[in-house]
Amino acid sequence: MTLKMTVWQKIKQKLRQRFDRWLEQRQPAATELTLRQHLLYVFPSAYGAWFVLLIILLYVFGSNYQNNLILLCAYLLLSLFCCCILAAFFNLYKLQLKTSPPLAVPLYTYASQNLTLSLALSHAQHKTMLLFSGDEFEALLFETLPELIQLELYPRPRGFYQLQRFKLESYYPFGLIRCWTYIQLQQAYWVYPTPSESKNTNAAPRQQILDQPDQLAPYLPGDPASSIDWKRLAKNPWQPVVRQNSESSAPALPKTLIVTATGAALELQLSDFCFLLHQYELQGESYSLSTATGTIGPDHGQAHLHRCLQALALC
Amino acid sequence: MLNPAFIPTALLLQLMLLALLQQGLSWWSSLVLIGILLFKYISFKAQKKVRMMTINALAVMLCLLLLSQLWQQDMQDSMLQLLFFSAALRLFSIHSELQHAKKLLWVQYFLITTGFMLDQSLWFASAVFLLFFCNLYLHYLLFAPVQQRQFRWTDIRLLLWVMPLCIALFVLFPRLPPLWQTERQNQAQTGLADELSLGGLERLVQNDSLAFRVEFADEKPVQHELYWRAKVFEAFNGQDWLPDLQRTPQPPLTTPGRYRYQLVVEPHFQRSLFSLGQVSQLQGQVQTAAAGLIESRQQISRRFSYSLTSDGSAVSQQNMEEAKRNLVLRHTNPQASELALQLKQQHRTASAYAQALYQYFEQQQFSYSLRPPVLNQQAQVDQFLFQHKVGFCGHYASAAAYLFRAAGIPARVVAGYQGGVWQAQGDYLQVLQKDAHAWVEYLEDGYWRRFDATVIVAPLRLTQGLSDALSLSERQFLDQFFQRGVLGNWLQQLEWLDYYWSVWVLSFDQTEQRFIWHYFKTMPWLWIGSCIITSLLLMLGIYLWLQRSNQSQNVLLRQRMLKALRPYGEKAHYQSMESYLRQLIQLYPLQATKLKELLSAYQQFEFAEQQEQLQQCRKLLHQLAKHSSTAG
Repeated sequence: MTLKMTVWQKIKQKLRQRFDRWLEQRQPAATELTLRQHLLYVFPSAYGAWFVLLIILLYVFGSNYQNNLILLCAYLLLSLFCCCILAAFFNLYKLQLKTSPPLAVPLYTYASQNLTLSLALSHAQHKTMLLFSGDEFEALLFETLPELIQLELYPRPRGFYQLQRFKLESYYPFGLIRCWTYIQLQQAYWVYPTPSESKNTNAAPRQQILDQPDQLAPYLPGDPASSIDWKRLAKNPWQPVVRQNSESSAPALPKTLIVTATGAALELQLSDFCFLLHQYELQGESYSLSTATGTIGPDHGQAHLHRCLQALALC
Repeated sequence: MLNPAFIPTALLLQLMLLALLQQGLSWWSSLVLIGILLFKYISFKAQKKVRMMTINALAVMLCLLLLSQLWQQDMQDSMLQLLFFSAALRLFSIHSELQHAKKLLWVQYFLITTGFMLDQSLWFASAVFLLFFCNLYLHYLLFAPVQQRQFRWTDIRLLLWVMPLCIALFVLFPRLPPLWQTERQNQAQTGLADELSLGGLERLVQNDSLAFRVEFADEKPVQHELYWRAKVFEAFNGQDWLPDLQRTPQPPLTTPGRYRYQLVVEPHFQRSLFSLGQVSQLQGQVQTAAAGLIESRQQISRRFSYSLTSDGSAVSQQNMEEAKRNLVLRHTNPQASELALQLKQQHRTASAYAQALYQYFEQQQFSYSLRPPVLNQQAQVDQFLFQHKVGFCGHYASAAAYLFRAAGIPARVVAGYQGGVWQAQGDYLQVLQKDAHAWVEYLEDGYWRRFDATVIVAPLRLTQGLSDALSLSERQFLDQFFQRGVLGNWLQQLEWLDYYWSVWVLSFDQTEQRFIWHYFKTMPWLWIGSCIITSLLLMLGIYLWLQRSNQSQNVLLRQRMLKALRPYGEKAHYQSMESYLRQLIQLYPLQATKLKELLSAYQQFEFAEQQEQLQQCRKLLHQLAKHSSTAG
């Protein structure tokens, strides 16, 4: 019995892998995606099958009793069924999904917290009754589609994740035909350890650095894309402008954090470090982090903070 | 979650359906259904949920009740009731579950469509279609956003697409022949009965419902020639005329006839059909029967259509048996037999004898009445001929047939309809039940000649119709049966719509379908195909052209600039158009002035949105493109 089950499960797993690979070939992960013929699958639902049975029954009845009106009804339902195929397809067709625009800071959350992921939709005027479902979030039914939808991802343990393939389906109209697609969006997110303050830290707050206004300079090839001033770019696309942070005053003595714990203590230490890193950053101090894989820093700033937090997440 | 409008609409739908399908439901099932619907309404108002146990118990009880009634009811009616019960109980059980609602819709689709088994007239069918679309609306609500009540425009467009497709399927989709024979056992027959007593057609004459309708293809017979034969009675037992049991159908002739006509018969749950005189060609699910009659292959339980060609002439004799059979007579009316012998001695030939009989009826002051005196059992023909001398077509036909047989001339009684009323500017003839008539056919020289004493007694009956042939008091007596409301009168006005509904929709069958397919095949497909393809190409061209002109002018200009300036040097990806132009100005001092002009014109067009600069840009580009050869 158990052997049978395992064989069956193995077959299922194999098929599942095959299917995933096939989907991967068909639709590789992308940041922007338009639903077209090759991505949309259309097939009668279970109710659609019952409906076809109804049509057949009516046809047989109408033929047998030579009753043209019953036949007419059967044809009416049949043509409705055929038109529903098209309607269901067009309910998803040309819908555009886009991940949120690239930010300076990667998408992140802390362990045991929800992450809200927003997807921008366009060409969604006449689309209704769309169901988003996947392993990572609770299924969401949209009666009409907003410009921006927000998916609440379930809390997960720390680490680096890719948004998994999720399903988008609709039974509209009449529930006879199901049109669906499996979507893989290129959207990574970090789950950092939960910050928690432990007793043995007592870092006194220090004075804030004066926040000087940013300076602008024309864009030169080689400048990081993240420093481009996007608002100005939108106004004048032919003359990109780069924002240059003013160098702050010389940092004080850098703080050093070293990940030493293993086993159960590791998680505690990581949470602790997470808290400390935030505090240092807030205080404008320079800090460095050493893990088993290497040392980062000493430095400060948002980018550095996130590099450190990412290193913690991957410990 | 169900749409809040779903349950009330479904309740209303079932209530209307209950009213509409009354004739297929027995009184107790109607009562039970009303009870269920009422209870559902109350529990819906009170927001109370009904327990599944209650519903199951109710379902079992209703099934048992239905089983107990099964032997007394027709199968078809039982099925209808079963469907209705399941629909009502399903509605009863719905609270907010999608699954139940889906099943309810399924059953309701089936139930509503079964309504067409009961009646197919235009008015009834429109009501059934209305309910059908009501169910479609419910179906839509089930899968639409919860608060939505109305169809959206895109969905209406979808439904508009459904219609032509549906009609095309109806006209072109191949049809199956009937799979199994169905006869309704417990359905009362209407129309002519299977026997004819001396005053037999009385009841029928008081009925003004429709019997059948006829459309003639080219020539129409005169009114007094419209004798629609339906039944032939050859055996007389002293009181009633009965059909002879030996039925020997004859093969149909294929000689061309004078009249070509199509009949649409109302359901009368018999097999007998109507024809004029000798029939020569048949079309439809009909066959010839004995005595030159036509009958359907199965019981007529729906509107039925067939076409005939006939000559209008007398029916020919089939065999010698027929003549012998129609001479059999038990001389139970001594006075009539004596009269027949007297007349026969004076008039040797059958036609002369018939003339003598006409004269006899004329001279003896016979009169026509719908309320003749009641005859007692003994010697009814004698009582009629010599005592009362008042009667109806049944009396005259019976008496005349007796007189013919007593004189040794084979004769039989024919029952059918006479005349009819021309409708819609004489396009078609409408024959009602009250046009029922009986007459006699006697054999002479191998043909069955018609003898109708009513011609002499009440000549107006044939030319003007029944009510004109009657006295005032009798007409009032008759009119009391024909009371119709305002709606009835109004519907009577639109009777012709119903007729064309039956001719075009109800009687559409394989024969017409084959004709249409044949017509399609003979169409010049090469021409049509090429026309379609060229028009499609033309449309595509126009579409592309419109797309192009719709594209923004800026994009077009940029493309044009890149093309024209390519000989001077390619634009790098990272370069803006302006920096590209500046670079060109430095590289080609000869063209610098023109390029500078182009740059300023481009900037003005692109950023200051000065439309007139577009022309300037084009001109400069043209000149630059000309000079490019020298530059290169």
